[in-house]
Amino acid sequence: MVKPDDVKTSLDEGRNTAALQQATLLLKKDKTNPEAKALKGLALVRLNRDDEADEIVKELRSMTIEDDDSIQTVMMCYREHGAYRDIRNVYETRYKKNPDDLELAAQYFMSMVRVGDLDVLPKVAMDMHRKSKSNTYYFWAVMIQYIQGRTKRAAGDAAGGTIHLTMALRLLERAVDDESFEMSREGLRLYTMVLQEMDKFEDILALLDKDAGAGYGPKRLLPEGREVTQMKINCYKRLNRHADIIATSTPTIQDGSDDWTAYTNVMDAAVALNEAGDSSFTFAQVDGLLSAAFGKATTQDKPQRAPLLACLEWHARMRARGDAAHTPAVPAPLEAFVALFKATGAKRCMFFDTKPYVSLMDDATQRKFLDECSAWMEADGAEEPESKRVLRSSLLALYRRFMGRHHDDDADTDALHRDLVEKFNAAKPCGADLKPSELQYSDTYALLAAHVAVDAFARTDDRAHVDRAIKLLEDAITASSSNPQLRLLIVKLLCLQGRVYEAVPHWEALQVKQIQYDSIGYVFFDHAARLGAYDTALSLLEGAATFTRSCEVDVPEFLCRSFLYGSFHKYEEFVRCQEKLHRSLQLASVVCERFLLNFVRTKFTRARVTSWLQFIVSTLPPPSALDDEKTFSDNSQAEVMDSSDPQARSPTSGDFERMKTARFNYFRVRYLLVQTVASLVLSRQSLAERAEALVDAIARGAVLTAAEEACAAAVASPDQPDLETIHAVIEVLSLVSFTVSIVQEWISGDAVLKQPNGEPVRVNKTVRQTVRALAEAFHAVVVNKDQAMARVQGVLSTAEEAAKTPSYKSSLKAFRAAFKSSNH
Amino acid sequence: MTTLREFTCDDLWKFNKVNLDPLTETYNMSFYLLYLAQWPEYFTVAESSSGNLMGYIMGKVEGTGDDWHGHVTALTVAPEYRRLGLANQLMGELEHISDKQHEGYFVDLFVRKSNDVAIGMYKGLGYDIYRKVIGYYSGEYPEDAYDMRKSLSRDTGKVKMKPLGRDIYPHELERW
Repeated sequence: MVKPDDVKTSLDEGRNTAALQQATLLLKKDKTNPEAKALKGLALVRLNRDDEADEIVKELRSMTIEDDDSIQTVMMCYREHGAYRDIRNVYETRYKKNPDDLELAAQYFMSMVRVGDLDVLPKVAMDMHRKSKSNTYYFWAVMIQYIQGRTKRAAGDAAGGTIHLTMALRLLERAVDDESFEMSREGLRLYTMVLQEMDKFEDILALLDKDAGAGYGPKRLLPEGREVTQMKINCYKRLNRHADIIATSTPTIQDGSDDWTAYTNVMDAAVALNEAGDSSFTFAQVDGLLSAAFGKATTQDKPQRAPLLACLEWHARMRARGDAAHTPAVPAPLEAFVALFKATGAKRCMFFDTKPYVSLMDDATQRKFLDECSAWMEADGAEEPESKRVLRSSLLALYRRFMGRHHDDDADTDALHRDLVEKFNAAKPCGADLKPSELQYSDTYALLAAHVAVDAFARTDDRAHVDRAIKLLEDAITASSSNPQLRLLIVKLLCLQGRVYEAVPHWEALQVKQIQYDSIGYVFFDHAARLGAYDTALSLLEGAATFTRSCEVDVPEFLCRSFLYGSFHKYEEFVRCQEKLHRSLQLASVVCERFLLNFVRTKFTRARVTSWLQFIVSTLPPPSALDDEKTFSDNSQAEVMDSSDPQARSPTSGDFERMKTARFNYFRVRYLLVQTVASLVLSRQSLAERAEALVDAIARGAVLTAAEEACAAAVASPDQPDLETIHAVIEVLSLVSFTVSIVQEWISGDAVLKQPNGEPVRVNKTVRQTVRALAEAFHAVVVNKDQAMARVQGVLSTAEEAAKTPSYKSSLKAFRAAFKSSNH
Repeated sequence: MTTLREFTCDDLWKFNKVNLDPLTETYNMSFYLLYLAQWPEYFTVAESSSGNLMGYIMGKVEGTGDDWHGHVTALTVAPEYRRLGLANQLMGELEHISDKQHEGYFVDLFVRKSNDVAIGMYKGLGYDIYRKVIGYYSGEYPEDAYDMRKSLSRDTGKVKMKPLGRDIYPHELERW
């Protein structure tokens, strides 16, 4: 006979399927047993079956639960399902019955913090403070007033916000005036937060001074260090006390420190003084300070980077101010670049450090820089170890590419590629003793040669160049397995070619997980399912779904921890983090893709599909949210791949925005598809008729519109389509293919969607033919682009003819209107 | 051109060029958020002038009595920014906080026995091998660990970093 403890043991041991079976058996004996229900809910949550867990939670919500064991289990189920509002309701009931129970009060307080119900919390916290005499609860009350003040101000209620902030300040002043009140480090930080929000920066400085003199107790609460210095600098900035900023930062610069903020603080302050007409610290004095730091650095064996880079930063700032600005009397960009090369040219960071400043040199100066560095390597640098010489040489090769030398009209790409491959092969031996965890000295040459090969492909449309690039990168990886840039580039090139299965091991070697699903999952997510790697895609989606669920459950908990540990400044950061995850475009995509892939790959019961769709519809924002791209937060890190392309060819912020828009549009199509399936499945009436209309709409509306645009762009182009265009076509057509695969499932009757009498859903014959032809065309694109283009065009022409028939027109018009209204 | 600052939640979306290093673990969100909530001053990131994350250190303060100490949980630097002394700077920051703010007696850390580069760096910073923990690392690459320590100003006699004189097993480690 199964007992609740048996289920708990199974859960503890991670045997979730067994736990589910045991809980189901328990419920067979007593359908109204809340503990058994909660245990079943826990098992479902841990099996990633959130939709079914949601049903359990709804049932538990309507039950009256009295015994403590059941309450604890139910609370655990609520927590793991992220049903924090239900937890709040339970604690509220219990707290009202036992208002003097301090532990319960604290739990009630935290349950309210998790869901953002703050109104009654100052009173609860002050009650706890009075009963316990603990100052911790006093600060909780202050913090709640602070949060409410900030929230009201952000909502435009300035007066309401000020009331709360004033209340917070009074509480703090009262505490400080009370000699028996022991101020804490956390309390003092909270004090500075409140003062800052009220623009009382002089008061913050006074507070820090008082603390420095041990004015808040036997010893200083905030010791001298980075935190206090930064607090003071922030205050000086807000108070326009630029001279104080300069006085604070100058000694750091004179010491030749690497602390970049000291340099930028002085530059900011000097500019602010200049704009105010104050000559107490002139640009000439900045020149003197920076020149001295530069001079000192160049005489050291191991100089810091900051003094050298600061000269370039100062040049850049002055140049950005316009013609009338000051001409810095600090070492010229060429001199600074050469000095940096001598000091840090054998470090990989120099390229990334200096990229923003290369444009300070005109074309002739850039050539001079390359020549001077090469000459120095032949003279002073000749005695350096071979590894350093390889790093320096490959750095110069990077600069050549970045300065456009690889893209000169007269550049011989084949010769360039051969040269880089030769250098790569020649450099390999000098890294023979490096550990597998270290990057090989020759890696830069492999990456550059691969890019040159891709350039050649873009120019000639000969895929052999891409194959060559992939082969070279794979060769490089055998010796440098820990270099993520090599793997990222291989994954991208293989996916662009539709060779997604070959990309899988490289992607897996990157071990992307947890938060990385959200930030860089796109590198592979965007291709895996679309190009047919369903199993890998499903595995990724399951991992991402587990991550999403754990975030929903765990992140609110840390809102409470910011109170528990007194890290009050982290509260709003955690709120923003929660918001960012909640609005994540990538994680919303996971919800859609996971359903769609499972839907076509697995035979589910209609009840399971119904429950899943109901959960998705209730979880994702409504379709109206698609009208605004800003509803979702694209959390991808586009810069994860290094680029040494010339500035004119490098992705700009506008390119990144367009990539995000493209990703959003793809999501929109997929989301509409899920909504369409949902309305099909969840509708209780005339299923067959609705199916036909919706299939028409999908096939003729969203999908073909997107396909038409991409294909038209590629086919109509007078030039050979470049790699990116082909990529776009493959992507869109794979979208078509995948969408079509679902439609075909319906057509063939293999899917769960059947009419109530068991017969397959009837579909318009022309639609059937169109989608089948498109699916075939897609596969042909991957195999043979040129032939496929013609076929796609033919299919689209046929479809266009079909679209003229009355039966298409109504659904097409409505769907296209909705689709196009959002930039499509 | 390093800016040391407190690690923030937003950095979790930006740390990929550091964390794609195979020896750098990407933990679950709770792990990072716990450190951010409980020991925010111990979670420091080094940022370049162009805004790239170069590396970071995670740590905490724990122990009781004269075992009250700072602990280095993770220290990592992106491949492009290695051999610039960044790890030293980050360690210095953690030691400063452990010494001045929390008044700990020492700082400790665990390092793979085979990681000669890291062991050499820590020794250069004044750390000594306090003891070996047999089988400390499990998983794909199981290995012993060295527990290394450096006394802070409060441990005037440097008592807390004197080698223990015997190896231990993970179950013998203190539960702070």
